[in-house]
Amino acid sequence: MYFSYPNLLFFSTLVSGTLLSVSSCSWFSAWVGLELNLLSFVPLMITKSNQYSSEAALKYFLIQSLGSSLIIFSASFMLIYFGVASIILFCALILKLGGAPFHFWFPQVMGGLLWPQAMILMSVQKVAPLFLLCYLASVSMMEVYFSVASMLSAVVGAVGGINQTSLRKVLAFSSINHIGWMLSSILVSEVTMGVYFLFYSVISLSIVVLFHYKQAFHFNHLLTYNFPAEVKMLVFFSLLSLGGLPPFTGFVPKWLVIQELVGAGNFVLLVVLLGSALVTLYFYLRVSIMSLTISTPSLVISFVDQQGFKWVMPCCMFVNFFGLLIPFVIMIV
Amino acid sequence: MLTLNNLFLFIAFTMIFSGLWAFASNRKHLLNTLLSLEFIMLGIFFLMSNCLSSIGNELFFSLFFLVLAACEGALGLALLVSIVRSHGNDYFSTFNSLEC
Repeated sequence: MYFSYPNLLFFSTLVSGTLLSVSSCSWFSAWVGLELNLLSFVPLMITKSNQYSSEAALKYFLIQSLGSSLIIFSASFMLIYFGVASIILFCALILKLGGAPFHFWFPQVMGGLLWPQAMILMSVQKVAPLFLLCYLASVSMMEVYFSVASMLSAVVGAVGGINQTSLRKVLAFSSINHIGWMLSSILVSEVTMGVYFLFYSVISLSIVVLFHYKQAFHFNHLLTYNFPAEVKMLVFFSLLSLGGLPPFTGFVPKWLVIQELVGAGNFVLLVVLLGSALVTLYFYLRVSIMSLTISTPSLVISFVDQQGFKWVMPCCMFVNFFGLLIPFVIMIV
Repeated sequence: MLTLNNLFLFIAFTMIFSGLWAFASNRKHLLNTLLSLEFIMLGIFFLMSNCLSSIGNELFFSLFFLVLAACEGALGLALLVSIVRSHGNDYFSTFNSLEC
C-alpha cells in the first residue's frame, strides 16, 4: 500500500524538490525546491481519509506555506535591505524546520501521521532548510541568533517531551532537541552538521522501523501487545542510541559537536545542550524500562504485525552498534 | 528604522504585512486564512516585479513565482475540501483532535 504508484510519484518529486533547493545558487531557486517539496508531501500525508490525517495535513500546509512566503519575501527584500531580510529568512527557515521558538506545529502534526510519513517528516523534510541555513551562518551578526535558537530548541525539546504519552510526540520532541544540536553544529562547520544529520536520521529510522513493524503508536500499545523479548531489547538499545549514550552509535555525532564546541570555547551553549540531552535520556529510558518491567496481560485477541517488515528490522538494527567499532577505526587510521 | 522611499516598495510591504496579520489573526473560518495567504502571494508578486525589473533580464522569474503560488492556492483549496469532508465545517474550533 505504501509503494503504490501515486506515492512513488510524490516521493520522487519530494526528493527532487529537496535536491533542487540544496543545489541552488540563489534563494529564488531554493524557494522553488521548497515549494515542490511542500506540494509533494501533502498528498503523502493523506493516506486515510479520517480526521487526524486531514487535520495534520492542513496544519502542515498552513505553516509551511507561511514559511515559504516569508522566504521568497526576504529573497526579494534582500536586494534592498540585507540585514533585516537575513533575520526574516532565518526565522522562516527555523519555522520550516520546526525549531524553537517556532516549534508549536511540529508535535501536533506528528501526532496525526502514520509511521512512514512521520519518518519522512523527521528526516527528508529537514534536509533543505538545514542546508539552506548554512548559507546564513557567515552573515555578520548571525551567530547570536543561531546560539539562541539552538539553546531554546534543546530546552523545549527536553522539557516538552516529559509529559507525552504518544510515541510519535515523544519522537517529535526528540527531533526538536536534535535540531538544537544541529543548529549549534552549523556554528562549527557544515560538514559537522551533515554528519550529525546523517547519524540522526539513520538512528531514528531504526526506531521508526521497529515501531512500525509492531504498529505501536502509544505507551499503552507497549504494555498491552505481546512484544517478543528481542523487540523490547532492540527498542531499549535504539532509544539509548538516540539519546547519545556512549557505547552506541548515537554518541559519535554528539562527541564531535562537544569536541568542536570546547575547542571554540563556547561553554554556555554546551552546558545547555548537555543538560537537555540528559532530560531526553530520561524519557527514552522511561519508555523502554516501562516496556521491559511491566508484565503484559495474555490476550485472546492477537494483533497483526505490519506485513513485509520482518526482514527490514535486523538490517536497521545493526547501525546502532557501529559505535563500538569507532576506537578500532581510529587505531587503524 | 526602515525608510521606504519608494512608493511601490511601501505599498508592497504594506500588502505583505497586512496579509501576514490577517493570516495570524483568523479565528473562525479556514477560508479566510487561505484568502490572506493568496493576498500575501499577491503582495510578494508586486514586490518581486519591482525589485527584479531594476536588475534587468530577470523579470520572467515572477511568472515562475505566479505559477507556484497558484499551485499552492489550489492545494489549499483541496485541503479545505478534505477538511470539510472529514470534519463537517471549516471552523478552527473543530480542529481539536491533535492538541498538544
